[in-house]
Amino acid sequence: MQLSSSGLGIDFGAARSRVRTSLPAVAGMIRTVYAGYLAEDSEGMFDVTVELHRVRGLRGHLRPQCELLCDGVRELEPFPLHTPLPLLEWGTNYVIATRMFCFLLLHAGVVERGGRAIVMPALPGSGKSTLTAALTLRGFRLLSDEFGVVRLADARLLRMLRPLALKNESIDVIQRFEPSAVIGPRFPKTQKGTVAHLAPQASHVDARHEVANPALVVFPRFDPSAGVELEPVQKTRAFARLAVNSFNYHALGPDAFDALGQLVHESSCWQLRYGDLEGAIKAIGELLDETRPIDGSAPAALDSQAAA
Amino acid sequence: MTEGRSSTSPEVRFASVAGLTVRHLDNEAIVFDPLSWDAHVLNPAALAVLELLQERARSEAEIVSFLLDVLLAEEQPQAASHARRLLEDLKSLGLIRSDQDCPVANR
Repeated sequence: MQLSSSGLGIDFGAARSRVRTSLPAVAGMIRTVYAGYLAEDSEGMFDVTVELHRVRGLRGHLRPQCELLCDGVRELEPFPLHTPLPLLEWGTNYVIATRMFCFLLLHAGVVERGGRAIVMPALPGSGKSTLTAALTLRGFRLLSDEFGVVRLADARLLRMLRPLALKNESIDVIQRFEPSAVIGPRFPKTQKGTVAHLAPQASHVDARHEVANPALVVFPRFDPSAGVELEPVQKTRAFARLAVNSFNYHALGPDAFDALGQLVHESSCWQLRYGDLEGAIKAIGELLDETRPIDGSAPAALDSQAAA
Repeated sequence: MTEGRSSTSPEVRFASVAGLTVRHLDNEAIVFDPLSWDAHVLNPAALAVLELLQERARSEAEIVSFLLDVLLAEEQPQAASHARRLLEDLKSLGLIRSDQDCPVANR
């Protein structure tokens, strides 16, 4: 099959990947979480080429493991053999984060509605992926769960459309939230606990070459004791937090400064503390509706919410 | 530094370093230093002083005079200490320099 020979091309939008593997189980996993993607041949230019194989030698017999080669080089430690998909996904993220310097890469979930993007940067454990997943199941289209891909020339947001990595309790939360959601196999006992991947919807995959305009920056923080609390964030503070949360801001220097400054200038910036997922989605939708593009003036409703 | 005493002689002048990129965001600003590639967040007071020093080199007394014009009446007694602190902060960030640091640069 193609995966074990010339490889399978996958177009994420802002990047293309070629995957090869000698592990038979991986094909079924890829079919599930990349269901909306057209099978592409392995010809042409790829930003990332990764290969998944079983680790050979004595160690491989004592403790069966799989390894990921990025352009022929093993850059990550092997994973247990039964977790090839988490290794493929994290390894691909690693390669994108460390090698792509043609875009500013923010560590953020990004969704859009009507071409207006919501950038949600957050530290691990803040509920970013859960909120991103839930938004995509309630009418927002996914740009990325991991990368805010900012075009340097004009600060537009590109898509890096990949399966959403859900962890631990989030898997059941999302499955209950939307029973029709397509979630791949569960991988227990990974470095981050149990992991499963939510497949992007076909219509989101079809839109993976569309760009979106920055509209909102929302810093989410899950707090089970909270309902939904929104507080405005000074744009200069939002800029600093986004820069710190970026994979390559410091490597890009003035280009990153200009692009991020433009993105923040065009966005309304908020801190969101939430314990209620539906409430958080409603609040974000309302914020987006109330926030006009930068050439228009903010409506009064936004000002009163900021004061509250 | 001791409050109420000037650290610089009256004739020392300060100026912005060349090539800074300033982007205004609401009433504050972020500033990019092309030498260090560092970005700094400036509050309105620091921004106003930096922009003053981007126009031309000025003495500490001129900065105090500027602050006296823009501060509220109850803040005006602290204008001199505000000016010194702002100049120290901007200097420590590498965004301004004095002609003591570089005698030729600001002439």
